[in-house]
Amino acid sequence: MFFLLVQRFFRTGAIVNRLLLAMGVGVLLLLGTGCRPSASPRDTERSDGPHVRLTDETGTAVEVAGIDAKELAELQARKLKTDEWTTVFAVYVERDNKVATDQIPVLGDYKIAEGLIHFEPRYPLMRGVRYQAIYHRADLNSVVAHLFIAKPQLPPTVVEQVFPTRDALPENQLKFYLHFSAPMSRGEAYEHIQLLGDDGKPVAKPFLVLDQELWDADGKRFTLFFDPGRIKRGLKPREELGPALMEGKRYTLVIDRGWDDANGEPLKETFRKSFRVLAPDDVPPDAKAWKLDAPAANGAKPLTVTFPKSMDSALAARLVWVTDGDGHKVAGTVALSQEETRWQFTPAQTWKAGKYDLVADTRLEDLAGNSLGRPFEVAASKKVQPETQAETVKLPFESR
Amino acid sequence: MLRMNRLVLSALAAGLLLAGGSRAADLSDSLKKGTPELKSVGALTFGPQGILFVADPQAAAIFAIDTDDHTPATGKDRPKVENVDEKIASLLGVEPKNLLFNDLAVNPISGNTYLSMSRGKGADAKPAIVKVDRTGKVTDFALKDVKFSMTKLANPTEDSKKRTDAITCIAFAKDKLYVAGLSNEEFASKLRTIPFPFTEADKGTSIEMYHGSHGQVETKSPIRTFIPIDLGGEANLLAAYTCTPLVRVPVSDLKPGSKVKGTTVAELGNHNVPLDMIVYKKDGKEYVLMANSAHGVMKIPTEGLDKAAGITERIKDTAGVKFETVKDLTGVVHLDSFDKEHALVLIKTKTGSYNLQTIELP
Repeated sequence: MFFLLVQRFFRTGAIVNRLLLAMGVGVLLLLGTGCRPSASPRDTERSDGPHVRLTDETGTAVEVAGIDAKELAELQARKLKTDEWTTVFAVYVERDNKVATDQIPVLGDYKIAEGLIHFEPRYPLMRGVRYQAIYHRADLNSVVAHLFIAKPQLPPTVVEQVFPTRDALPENQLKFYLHFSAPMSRGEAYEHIQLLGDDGKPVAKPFLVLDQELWDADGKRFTLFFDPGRIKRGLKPREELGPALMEGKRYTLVIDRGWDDANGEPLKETFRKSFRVLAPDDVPPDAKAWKLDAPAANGAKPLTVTFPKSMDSALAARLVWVTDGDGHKVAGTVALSQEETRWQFTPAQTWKAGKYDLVADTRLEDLAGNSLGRPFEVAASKKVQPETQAETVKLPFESR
Repeated sequence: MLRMNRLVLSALAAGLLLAGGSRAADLSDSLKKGTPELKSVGALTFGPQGILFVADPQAAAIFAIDTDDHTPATGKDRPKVENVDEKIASLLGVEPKNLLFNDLAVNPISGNTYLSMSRGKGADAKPAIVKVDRTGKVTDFALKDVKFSMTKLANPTEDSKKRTDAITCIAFAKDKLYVAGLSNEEFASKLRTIPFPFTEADKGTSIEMYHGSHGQVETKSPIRTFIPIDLGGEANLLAAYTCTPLVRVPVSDLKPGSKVKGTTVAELGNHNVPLDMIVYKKDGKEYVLMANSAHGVMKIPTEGLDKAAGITERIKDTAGVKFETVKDLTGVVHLDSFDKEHALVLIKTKTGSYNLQTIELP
């Protein structure tokens, strides 16, 4: 819903300004779907002198209309630069209904066209933020308008899923993926995530806190790493505080509802995931132990691969694929289930009779960050091939 | 997060003067005038000649932008801007709570500060670069009609909406840009070196980084922040990992496709999350100043770092080189060199507002 509030009056000082506000003298316009009185901002043309308006709900332009021709011609003749323009017409962010005397005006470009002063902010006015536009007139009272574009009303955002989905995790669990139903806001993630021990008390500093939060491009999936300093052996954080997770104990990951979504609204509810902790897993996953259930030719049933242990959900979706007899990647969709131990690939077209390969990139990790063929930690004496040389593992199957 | 080796830069500048080459005829020749289409702005660092490198993590790209800010500083003004978040918010037309400070860099020529900001916190946040001059005046650095070039970091075959890289730090030394990143999926540690000027032919190389620990095991780990530094006459990177060791890596080891194991020279303990580092000299000695997430700023002498054998045994208390914590300096979230005597810091105050100011180098 779009909601525009414009209050227009002559400015004789902030006190009168607030008084008028309190008395509800302002002109109130409701626009948008649902509760609008069929007006567009341009319908608010008035003939009794200059007035300020938003051109539309995108917040991309603010105009001063109703300026008489002589006044406009004088302004045009002054050939104002941007800095000078702000002494004539400026838009400010309001704080507590006020604009400070030394406040920097909103950045943007000005022009006079079609009998209007036209201001284009460098960035569109933001929904939910209150603005004050002031048109200063020589020897006359200023014209002041309050501009506001309401935030859209959207269903509250929820935590849809946390991966891994299982409720028993290795002591050296490396990360969680938090999946939200809608894009979230950035910059406050770690304030809203807690790990509670079985006594209900928060575990101290269990996670890697990064100033650049790890989101996917849509802002709907957040990657939460455990502090690797608490996982790796022989590092100070672990020696000082011990591992974040201890075998045999229970923990609860809590995502509190105070976390704002991208629309600036809190989550629908607090999310909790309880789990118990198993022994650390230091064994790299072995693709040879995967069980392949080859699909029949001329059908579109999925290829089903069963992993002996749960794999990293994001990497299993991205780093495992199918190639045909010519080595071309087969188009289709991947689904994970059974606590990320079952990988299913449904082809976009029916399987042809013949040979295929299941291909896994060796960067594929299990829950503890052990990748195919290499554990998370390696004895310093042991030679390990650099990853840049390792590539893929192929498992052939045939569709008959 | 400036991490340019000023010695190297000075040498480069001197070299250019000796060669009689005009300033503009050199590095900015590779830049073309236009409007860089940045999707996001993150880590910043200055190269020579007022060229600002800007990481765009959402586009997985690095932009080199000529700031056209080549006038050497005159006078002794140093910025002190209280509530800089409010001022920037006013300029960008939002409330302070809608802003994110991503990084800052001081132009070593002019002393002007450039801040990379996100205007808005949702997926549709807009990137903005804001300039604060030495008197504290806040203006925007318009990314329009500027000379720039761009290089992509992503492997095109890896295009995925889910997988992204955070670019944790960038630094320029000699003729190369170093880029450290962190994937939101695999626990990789890739350090990319990209020759500058950017060319189509050489997109740079990726190096896999390891470090050891007391327990005689080694692991890959993403680098959080680093600086180029000369140690014992050899070009090195001094890198702080996400799991807190401070590691020395000779630049000569950074060969394409190689696996590089750094030497752990200090362990910073549990309460230190390194954010930014600078190198400076005071009273004839060289130090690293490191800003940490919440627990003060650390001053680390570089003397002996080149010879430090590496921590491979369990040591009680502080391991490796000795450092001191500048205790009365808290809340520093970003740090850069300002001049020979001062550093520039962005401080988050207890009330949640931000101050931009200089501090005397300790």
